[in-house]
Amino acid sequence: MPKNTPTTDTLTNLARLLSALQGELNTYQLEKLMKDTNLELETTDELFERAKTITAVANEASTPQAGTSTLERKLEEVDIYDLAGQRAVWIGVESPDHPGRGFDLRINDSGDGPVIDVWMMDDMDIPGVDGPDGAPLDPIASYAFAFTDHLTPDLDEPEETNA
Amino acid sequence: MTPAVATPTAPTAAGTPVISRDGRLRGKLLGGRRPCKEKGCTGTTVSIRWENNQVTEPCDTAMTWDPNNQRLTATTPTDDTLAALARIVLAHYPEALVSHAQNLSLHTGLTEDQVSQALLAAQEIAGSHQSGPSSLERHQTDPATYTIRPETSAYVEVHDPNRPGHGYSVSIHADSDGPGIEVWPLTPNPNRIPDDEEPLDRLDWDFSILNTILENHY
Repeated sequence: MPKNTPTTDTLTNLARLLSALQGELNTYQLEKLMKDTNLELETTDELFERAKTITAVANEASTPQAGTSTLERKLEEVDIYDLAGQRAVWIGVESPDHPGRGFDLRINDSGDGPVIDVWMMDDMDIPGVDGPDGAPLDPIASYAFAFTDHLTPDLDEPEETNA
Repeated sequence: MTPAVATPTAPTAAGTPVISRDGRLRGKLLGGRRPCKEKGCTGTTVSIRWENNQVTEPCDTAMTWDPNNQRLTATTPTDDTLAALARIVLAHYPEALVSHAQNLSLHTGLTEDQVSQALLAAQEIAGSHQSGPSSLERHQTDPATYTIRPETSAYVEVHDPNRPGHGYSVSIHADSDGPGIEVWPLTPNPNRIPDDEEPLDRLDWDFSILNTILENHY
C-alpha cells in the first residue's frame, strides 16, 4: 500500500536535539539560554526532562513506528495536524467544570478512511466499571468514513475551461 | 520568601490558591502529595491544577510561600512542549548551520538532513507562536495520546494513501459544554469549497451526557 503519511516527527526530533544539548551546556550557556527564552530555571529543567522522556520513549519503543508521534503539527499553524498513515490518535477533551471527566476521541486510520470513536474519559479508572472479563468497554459511539466514498466529486474534477 | 517545604505554615490543603512565578496563571492545589523522585531530594511533590486545566506536579522545595501576603508561588507551567522545545533549540542554534547539523547528527542518531529540518522547523514553530499555543499537547510517554486545550479547535487531516491531497479533515472543537466534531472533505482544491458549505457530518457531545451514562449503566 502506498505511503501517504508524514514521517517527520518534529517533537521527537527537537527532543533529541535538546537531550544532546543538555550535557554540553555550561553554566554561562544555560543562563544565556534562560535569558534568551525568558524561561525560569525550573521550567528549563522540566523541559530538558520532558525532552529526555520523549527521546527515551522513542528509543525504547518496540518498533520505530511505535515510538513516533501519531500527529505532526503544521509548522506555521498551531491547530492543524496530519495523522500519520495507518495509525490512531487519542485526543482527550476534559470538562472544564469536572476535572478528570470528559471524552476521549479516537481517530483511527487503517488505510481505508478514518474511524472516529467516542469514549468516556478514563472509563477504566471508574470504580466498578469494567467490560466483560475486564476488557475495555465499547465506545459510546463510532463513526466511519471511507476514502472510497465519493467526496464532493465536483471538487475533484479539473476546472472547466471556456473554449 | 521561603521554600514552602521549610515553612510549617505553608498551606497544603486541597483548594489552596497558587500563582505561577510569572504571575500570569492561577491554580489550586489538588491535595495529592508524594515524595519527590529527584535523587537526594527530601521534598514532596504536590499536584496543582491550573486555570488552563493543566496539571503539574512540582516539588514543594521549588515553591515559595509568602506568609505576609498569603501567597503560594510555583513554577510557571509550560503546556506547549513543541513550541517550548523549539524556542530553546532556536535560542541555542539561531542559524541552521551545516556544522551544527554535522555535530548534532553524531550525538542524536538523526541524519544531517533531519537535524537541518528540525532546526528549520524550530524557526517556523517559534515564529508561529504569536498565533497562540498549539491546540494539542502530546502525552510525554504515549506518542498516540494528546490533550486538547479548552476552548480551542484542532483540525486533524487524514490522508487517502491512493489519492494524494484527498481525504478527510476532522475538526474537534473543545467547547465549554462538550466537544463538537465535524468531518470535512480534504481536497487539493480547498478554495473551491463554497464558504457556506456544510460539513459532511457534525457530531456534538455534551459533557452532561456523562452523568446519564454513569447513572444508567453503572
